[in-house]
Amino acid sequence: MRKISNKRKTEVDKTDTKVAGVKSAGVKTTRGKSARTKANDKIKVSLPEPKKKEERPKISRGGRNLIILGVGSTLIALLTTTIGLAIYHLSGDIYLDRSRPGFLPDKEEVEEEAENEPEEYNFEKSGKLTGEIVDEYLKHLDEEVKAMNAYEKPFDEGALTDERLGIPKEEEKSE
Amino acid sequence: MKKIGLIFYCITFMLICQPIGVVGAISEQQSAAIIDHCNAIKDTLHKTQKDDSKARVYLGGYYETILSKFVIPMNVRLVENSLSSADLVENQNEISTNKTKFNDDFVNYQRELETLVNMDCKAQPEDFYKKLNEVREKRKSVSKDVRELGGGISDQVNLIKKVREELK
Repeated sequence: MRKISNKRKTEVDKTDTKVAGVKSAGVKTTRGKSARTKANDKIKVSLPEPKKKEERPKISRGGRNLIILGVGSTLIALLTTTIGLAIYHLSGDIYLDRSRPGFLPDKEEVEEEAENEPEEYNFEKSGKLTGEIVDEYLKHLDEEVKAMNAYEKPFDEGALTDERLGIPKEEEKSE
Repeated sequence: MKKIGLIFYCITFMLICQPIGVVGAISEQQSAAIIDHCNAIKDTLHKTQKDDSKARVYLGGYYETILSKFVIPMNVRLVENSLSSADLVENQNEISTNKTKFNDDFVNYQRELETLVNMDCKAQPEDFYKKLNEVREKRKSVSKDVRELGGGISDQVNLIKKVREELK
């Protein structure tokens, strides 16, 4: 592209020199005007036709802005998603999420949960405290505690023993 | 001459101690068992991971309900009625602290367990076993937190029963 433009520039320079030569000749000669016209005709013939700029596909200003908007919004979406996922992992919320693949609750579990759900109870923070109110409080608290204890052996230490995992016990090492 | 003797003893000592160290970490039998049962071990670990996730969600929900809907409102009301005791306030703080500890310990335990599940037990049985022991320790901490929280909630019930007796 640069080569072409340089070539063209050289040609134009040459033409200018020719024109200057013709002009100076025109001043000197008596038939000035007609000679100049002929010279100009010659120049017109020798000049190469300028290439049309429309060869390259032209993008309108609106189209360009639309592309910038699309790329920009995609980048922002990627950035916010990455930040969100990082927080999700770092905060440990991922380990409480039971909607992850492989961690979804079983059908029976959902039914069991609905059956064991204790009655909704709200204890007021203010007001006079009587024996009956405390009795009712203790009744509901007991229900919650029972439901909590219904979960047998949470985080049982036996779940990760060598025996459970099928690894021979350490005593067998010396044999 | 003494120097050469000393170097000789050092090299001999190192050569003897090195295999003992390797065997001390994990026996060949255990290593072979880990490699052989790698997939079965991973399945058990994944099942444990799922069960623990379920336990965390259930227990965490109950701890939160008991603390926010029972313990705190009752203590506020007792203060209003001039019936509060230092034991009740102390017990509330203990439950609250243990609940936070339980949440943190569970996240640490799950992180370690996830690393363990993703480890290649066929290629690195020794590292796998080492990590397994670390996971066991983390699990013990969570188990201890659960016991302490259960104890704190039982104490709350007993303390409120004492208040009930005072109201007779």
